[in-house]
Amino acid sequence: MEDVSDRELLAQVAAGSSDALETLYRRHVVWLSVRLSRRCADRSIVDEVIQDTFVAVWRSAKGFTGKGEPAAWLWGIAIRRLVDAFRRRPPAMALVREVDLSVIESAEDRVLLGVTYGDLGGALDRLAPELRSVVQATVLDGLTTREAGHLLGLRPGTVKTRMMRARRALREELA
Amino acid sequence: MTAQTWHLDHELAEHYTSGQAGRDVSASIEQHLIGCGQCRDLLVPYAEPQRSDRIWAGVLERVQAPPSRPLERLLRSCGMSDSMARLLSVTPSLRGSWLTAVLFVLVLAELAANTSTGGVVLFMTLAPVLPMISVAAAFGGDMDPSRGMVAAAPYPMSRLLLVRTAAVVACTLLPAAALALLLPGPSWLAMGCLLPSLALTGVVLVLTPRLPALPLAGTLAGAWMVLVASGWIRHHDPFLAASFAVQLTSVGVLVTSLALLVIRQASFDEQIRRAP
Amino acid sequence: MTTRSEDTIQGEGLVSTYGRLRALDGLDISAGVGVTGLLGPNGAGKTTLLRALATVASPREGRLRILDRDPAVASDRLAIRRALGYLPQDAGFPPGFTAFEAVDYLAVLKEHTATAARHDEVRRVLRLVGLHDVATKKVRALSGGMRRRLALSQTLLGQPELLVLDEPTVGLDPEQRFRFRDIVSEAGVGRTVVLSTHQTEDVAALCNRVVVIDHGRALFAGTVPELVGQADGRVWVDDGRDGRAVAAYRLGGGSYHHVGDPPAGAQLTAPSLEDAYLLLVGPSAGDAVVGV
Repeated sequence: MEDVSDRELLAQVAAGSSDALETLYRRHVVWLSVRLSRRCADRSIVDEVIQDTFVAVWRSAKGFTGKGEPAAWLWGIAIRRLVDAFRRRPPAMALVREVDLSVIESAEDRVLLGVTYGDLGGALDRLAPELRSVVQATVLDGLTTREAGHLLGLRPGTVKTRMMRARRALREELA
Repeated sequence: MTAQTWHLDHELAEHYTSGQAGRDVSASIEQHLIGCGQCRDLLVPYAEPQRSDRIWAGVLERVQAPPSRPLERLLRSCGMSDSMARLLSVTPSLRGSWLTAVLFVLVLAELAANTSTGGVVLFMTLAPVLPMISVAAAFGGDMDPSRGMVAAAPYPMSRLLLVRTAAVVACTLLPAAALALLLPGPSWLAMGCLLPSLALTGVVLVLTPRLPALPLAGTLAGAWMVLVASGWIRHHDPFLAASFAVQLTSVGVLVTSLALLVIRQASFDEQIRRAP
Repeated sequence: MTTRSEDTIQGEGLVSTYGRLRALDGLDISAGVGVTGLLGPNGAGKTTLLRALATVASPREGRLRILDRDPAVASDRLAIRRALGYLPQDAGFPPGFTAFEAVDYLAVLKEHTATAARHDEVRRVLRLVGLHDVATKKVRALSGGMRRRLALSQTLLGQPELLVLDEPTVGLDPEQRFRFRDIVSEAGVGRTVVLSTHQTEDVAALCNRVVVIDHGRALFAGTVPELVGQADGRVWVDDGRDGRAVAAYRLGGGSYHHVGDPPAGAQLTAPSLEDAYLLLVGPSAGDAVVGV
């Protein structure tokens, strides 16, 4: 599957190859869809955003400078397209799903969590939901305050306040 | 157990893609996937084929099909069907450069008309003639590299040329008429350039299968110039074009041309295709 | 000439004139399913004949039937055009189009009205000629070989029953010609293809039947082996150039290859398609007359 790297594919897309775009699409559509679906419960919006994302990839493949992971670049485009989609439609209609299954997480999951975030993982888990979603949007998804506001249906001021509270809570936890 | 050696297994992949994995596990997986192509590939079999295919078809359509030419984009934004816009966008005399040139000349003539009577003569010469020449140019002829393939296509040539002619006339004669209203003197005199323009265009349409379009248009333009100039020289009347005689003749010529085009539509169609 | 009733194309006694020049001078032609090659020198009348088959020109005299219809009748002509794909010698595209748009334009002219279906059809034919990956490139950015393939792709729109190709491989380098022949060969399965060429290799590689044309007349019609057989015993090699031969050329080794009536005791050699062609067409094979 990885005979041609993502970087090479992007170079081919920049040169005008729709086949390369399709290969890239088939490779990345699943993880991008799932990740988007965890921020937007509406399937049709997710589909629309995926489509917008790959059209944007076609147009801006030249802009991928080669620094950093192609996958990160793709996610950056996708999440911003989601923000655009939310901006076009009232946020109330596009529910951000918050699934709370912490009770049935297995021991393996807890180990995994510790591995990726170290002490932070558990602390994140213990944050209040509204603070955690802000941390996820800004820290994990790399959005600006304003973009996070669009995604979550909050004013930028509220996003900043919650980030401050989250930081304070995490610092207290880890101290 | 270090972060580098941890990867997804099939069970976890299935949990994650079906949305059943807990939120923090999912967050970890998401961060991991950014850097690990192997695990991303593991997810690919969990795609929903119909959904993926449908989305991809949409991407391909948006990448390949939208018009790359500005004229076509303009036509489609005016509500025209994409197939008709595509047929029209090939017309040389609908291109921005052509229409700008025509408009430029007309505006210059207009300005000249407002300073001297000679300028009025100039305007009355050019205003009917420029739309006609634009129509002649719309026929492409040797200007269209695809005419060999177009000639063998089932689409009726007469319909194609009628639509192109209508578009060209609308884009050239209407501005000319608008500018004519700004001429000194009564407006109805200046409107006298409309009917002769349509009449000249009609003659071009009827004769063009048999004669090369642009030289024909040039000849007709010359004849018109002589007519207007003689009106000025002999009778000191810059608005000879608006005279009853000329208007009546124009109507006659126009009606005859239209009649001929309608009656001999089939042979007209074939002649256009076969023009060498 | 016998014409079978199921032949896609039947022409008898076709005459076509340009002023005083008789481009077709009583030409007979028949072609059925499979690839039929028109072989002849420049000016032989190949293009004129193909234009008549593509309903873009009509012969002055003679009887012509295409797909069991009469091209002189308007409604029949329309029906023929709907089942036809035509590649003229100097096929070009309107400037400023991408490859996709250029073929889409022709698809509109071929009456494919529904947009989604038409776009799918454009993609299909682009894939057939191997150009689907450059669909978004402007035509002027494509190489000559690719442009020729693009022109070929539009002939395949709508799955026509008849393909008329005028010098399809001219101007292509050997590798491009090879690819092109492959595509045409595939297209000829279950379909009638009539193509013209002055390259014997194209005929040998591609054609089920061949018609040799010169000065507006058909000199031969039959299969490729039958044509080669015409030159049996009429090809020989000699150290010196024999002026009585119909055609002769110097070989790499220094001796001369002759085609014609061999003198007694001549060293005969196995004939090729080119030999048979030279025999039929004679001295004018080497002429560079501007084609009609």
